[in-house]
Amino acid sequence: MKSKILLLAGNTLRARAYGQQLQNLNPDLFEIEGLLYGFPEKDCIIPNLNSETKIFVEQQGLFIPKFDESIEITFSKNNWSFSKVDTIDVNSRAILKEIEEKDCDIVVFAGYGGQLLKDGHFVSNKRYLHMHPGKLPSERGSTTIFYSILNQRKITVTAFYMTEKIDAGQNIIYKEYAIPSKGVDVDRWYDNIVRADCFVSALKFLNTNDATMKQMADDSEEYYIIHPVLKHVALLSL
Amino acid sequence: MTGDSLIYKYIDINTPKAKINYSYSKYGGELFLSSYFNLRKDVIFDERKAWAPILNINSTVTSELMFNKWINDLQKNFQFDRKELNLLLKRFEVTKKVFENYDQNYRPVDKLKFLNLRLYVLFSFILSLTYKKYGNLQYLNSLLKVNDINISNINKLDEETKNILYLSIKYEITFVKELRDKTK
Repeated sequence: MKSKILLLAGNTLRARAYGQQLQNLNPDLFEIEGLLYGFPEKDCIIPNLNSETKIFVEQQGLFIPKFDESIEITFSKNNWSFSKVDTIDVNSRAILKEIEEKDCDIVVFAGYGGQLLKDGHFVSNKRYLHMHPGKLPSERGSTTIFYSILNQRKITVTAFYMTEKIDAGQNIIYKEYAIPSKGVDVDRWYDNIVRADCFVSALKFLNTNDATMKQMADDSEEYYIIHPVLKHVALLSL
Repeated sequence: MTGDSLIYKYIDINTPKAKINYSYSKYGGELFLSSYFNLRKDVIFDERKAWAPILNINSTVTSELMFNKWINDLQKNFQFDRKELNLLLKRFEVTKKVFENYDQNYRPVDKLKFLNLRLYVLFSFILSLTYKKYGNLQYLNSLLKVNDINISNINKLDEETKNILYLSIKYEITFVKELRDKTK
């Protein structure tokens, strides 16, 4: 039986990375659909791929998305259907209604930075998949990739089913990635690339397994948006 | 202020009413860090004495009394339960404000009472003591943010409060230098 995936996507780099990674799935096993929102209001600024990032990511054997390819083009190329909602509010009634009407098993959230999904999303039986750059439950919160560098830990991405509580829910898989080398664009490239890689691995895993990893009660730490000074210390340490 | 301190743009005289935005901060390399150090050093250049902080035990502000107790416990190495501080830190990270009164869940009792600048300095001093003791980066992260607010408002502080801030900034600079050395 095919898994039905709905990509809830803003006009973002992450949505483009996720969309392009979906092409690496077996089409006999997955059915892909898109719900795009906030497009007229938000531009997607395409970052330059510097040589340090390109070389490092290629060495890691990771997929480099074409950020100049719009999500609409990716969907059209693959004959995946998509609809658009003319609002930037991910918790709007219009978006909730659209999701409710879609026949999907898993909703993948690739929205705008800082947006949080509110309760209305979690009342149906649809499951929301999210990729968090940190090992959950111990590394919760924001900009954790930089804290991992400062704590001299590997970069970890956890794929998990979201709940209304931030970075809590049932873990599916986590994957570890190398600490980037000097000059790698972490914010715009590496972060999106590792999340997209973990995303496609999580879907492949879910196609044959149930989410069995349980969230454990532990002494987890919540991280908040990193101060630019600490971000610089992290990046200058590479 | 020296010329390159202009690169460090996280000082805003409209704080704490306005929030400083730290999202997606741009990378400025060594020049940025050097401008940060210069700005902080310019502030403590004015330091004349290495006073110990003088706490106002007769304060009528609930948060100040709570902060006094925390400072006392941390300085004397008494048992310190970080759960309350972590809750307060969470509130600060969301609002970028320190309030005069909190309820038991550390929600502000009166959301308009956040202009007591001494509280921001005391909170900064607590964060420097907790980072020194426990080494968790969340404390240093919030310390940097609250000190941005404190430096933005330094001309409005009385001399005793300024002195506490000087101590806190000295700690902060040391911590950042130590972290750089450790991660090099």
